[in-house]
Amino acid sequence: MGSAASPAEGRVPVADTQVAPATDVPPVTPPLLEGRGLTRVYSMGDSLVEALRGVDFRIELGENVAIIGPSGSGKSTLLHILGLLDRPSGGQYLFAGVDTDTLDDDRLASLRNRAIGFVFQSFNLMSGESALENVASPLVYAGVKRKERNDRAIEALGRVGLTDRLHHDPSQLSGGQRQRVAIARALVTNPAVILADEPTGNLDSASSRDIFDLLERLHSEGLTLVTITHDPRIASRADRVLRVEDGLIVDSGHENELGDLVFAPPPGTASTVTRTVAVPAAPEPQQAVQSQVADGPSPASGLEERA
Amino acid sequence: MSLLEALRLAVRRLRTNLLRTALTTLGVIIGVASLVALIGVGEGTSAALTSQIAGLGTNLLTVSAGSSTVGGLRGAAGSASTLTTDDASALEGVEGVQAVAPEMSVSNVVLVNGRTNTTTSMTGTTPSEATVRNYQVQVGTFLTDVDVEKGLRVAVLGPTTVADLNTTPQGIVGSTITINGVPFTVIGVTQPKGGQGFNNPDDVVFAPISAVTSRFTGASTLRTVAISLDNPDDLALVESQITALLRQRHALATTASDDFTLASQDQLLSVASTTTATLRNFLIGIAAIALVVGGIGIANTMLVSVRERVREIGTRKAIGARRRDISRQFLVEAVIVTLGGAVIGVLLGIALTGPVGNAVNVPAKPSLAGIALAFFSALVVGVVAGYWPARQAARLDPVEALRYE
Repeated sequence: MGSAASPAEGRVPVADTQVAPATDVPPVTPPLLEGRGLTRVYSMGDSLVEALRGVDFRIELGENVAIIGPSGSGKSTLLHILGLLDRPSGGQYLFAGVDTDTLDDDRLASLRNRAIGFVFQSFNLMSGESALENVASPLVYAGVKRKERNDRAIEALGRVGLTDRLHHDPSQLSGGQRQRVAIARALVTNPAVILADEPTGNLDSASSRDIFDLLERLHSEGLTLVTITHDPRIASRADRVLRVEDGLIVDSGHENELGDLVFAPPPGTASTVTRTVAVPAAPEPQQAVQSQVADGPSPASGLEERA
Repeated sequence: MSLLEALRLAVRRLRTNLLRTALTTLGVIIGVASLVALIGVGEGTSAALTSQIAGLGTNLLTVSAGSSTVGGLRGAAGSASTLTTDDASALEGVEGVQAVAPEMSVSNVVLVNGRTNTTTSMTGTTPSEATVRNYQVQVGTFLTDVDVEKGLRVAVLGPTTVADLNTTPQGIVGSTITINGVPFTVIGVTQPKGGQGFNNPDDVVFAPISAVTSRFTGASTLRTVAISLDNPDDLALVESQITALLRQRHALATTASDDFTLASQDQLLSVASTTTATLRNFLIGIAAIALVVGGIGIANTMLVSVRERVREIGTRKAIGARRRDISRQFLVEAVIVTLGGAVIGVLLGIALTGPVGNAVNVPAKPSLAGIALAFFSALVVGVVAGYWPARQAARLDPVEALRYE
């Protein structure tokens, strides 16, 4: 994204004081996503269901993390909390070092819009809107003007290799192509993290390989990626696997235990990526995200001021 | 999301469900069109009635003979023979009175002109009748003082009466007709005043009061005396003077009630305007029901639409839509449907006002106030109908919405 703001532009003076511990002491940066004793309890009729029972994790910028676990283990609930679609019942969830409990619904919506990209199992594209319009739709909520929206959506579709399908309705696209449109939509706001919920769950094996090759390439370009998956091939390529069982993370090993079994680990690692990002993400993604959290609608990630 | 984006989104959505949109809009169109047309008819009725009453004579005051009471049975007003031509002459002297016309009525007289005939009522009166009741003559002349003095058998006809005799004003003036068998010469035809049915001011025969007395009634008692005033502001004063004079002439004891009745055009006008206001409100009420039903149609369609798009709403929330973005999207849809329906409805209503008026025989024309009322009530209905579904959509929990099948 050539028009991405430079760090100096992206940082507003207020941000320095508000997130002082993070920015004044450069070596100690908080993780991008951090959970401290997260719980989530639902009431189902008269009984209470504990979907999460005290979960701790840290996901750093630039990581590629897979979340695995059996159905009903709480991994979807975890992803919803990570994506700010849901709030924990207890514990703390920090997004770029900011306690999300202090943020109101509009601020959460704004963060979902600017800092998070979602990829769903069933694509969730808007029928009746072209691929281009689907990809541009997050920018509508960011208040970006139509012309720039289209330019950026075309660029995002280019990154997923669909430049020749701009004006197709989702119904005219194959499953793999639809998921690529959905990934372009997740990318278009230049988010800090992409959260994917079983991204290959509705695809045949050829399309699945396509999609995780694409996700992997995007990760190698600097994107933080958190994927819920049953697919051992995706899990095997992640930097790290969080195994969720019965509402607890039973394994968050920094070594990829499955890596030896299936494939060699991917070339990009978290530490190399953060230093080499030049093209897709903002030059200093960590700071950009922090000022987004602190200021809400700021041009930090290269998005225009909300209209 | 800006309003413009919400509009774009709503228009696209409405276009993809074109038939549903059209049917929903139809509800509003019918409501608005009937409001505009029925208000037009109501206003037309009111205007026509007011102008007819004004046409009957401005500054008009009528004195009617009181009812007679025979053996405890009270007769109709005018049945007593308490009002005479002498009373009428005396009233000319009252201050503030411009003209006095005694009116002697003979109902159901048969007019024969050659081979055609018609039945109407005849009024024996004086030349003052034209002044007091505001009659103009289109052909010939009105009654003259000489006609009254000599009791000549001459008659002035109303245009409707002339038409009923299958002839024209030019054709009948100068010819002789018979009234209940008595020959009369037609000397004039009055200008049409506009009116229909019972007590039509255009379906009349005027003859000199002296001729009517001698040929038909044989007595000099009057049913009414019509009086015009110099200045309508003096109405109350003139009324009280007339009352005093008549009571004195009829030698009524102070305890006795009046044996005559005074009625002014003012009273008639106010009765008429109350009646037409009731009619108008009634029509507005009927049309408002249509509009409310249209609004319920919108609310229903929007609720279905929200239900159909739960996943879409969840997805939109995931990609950053705030509550107000979602509610605006749905509200704008409802408002577009009502606005579109209101515009078409107003045009249709304007087009229909005339034909509807013709169907009920009223000169109706669309009024600006009616159009404005219809338009803005449609908008209110649209916003109210769209508000609840929009709020429901905005309050959906994103997690639940994304899971919805």
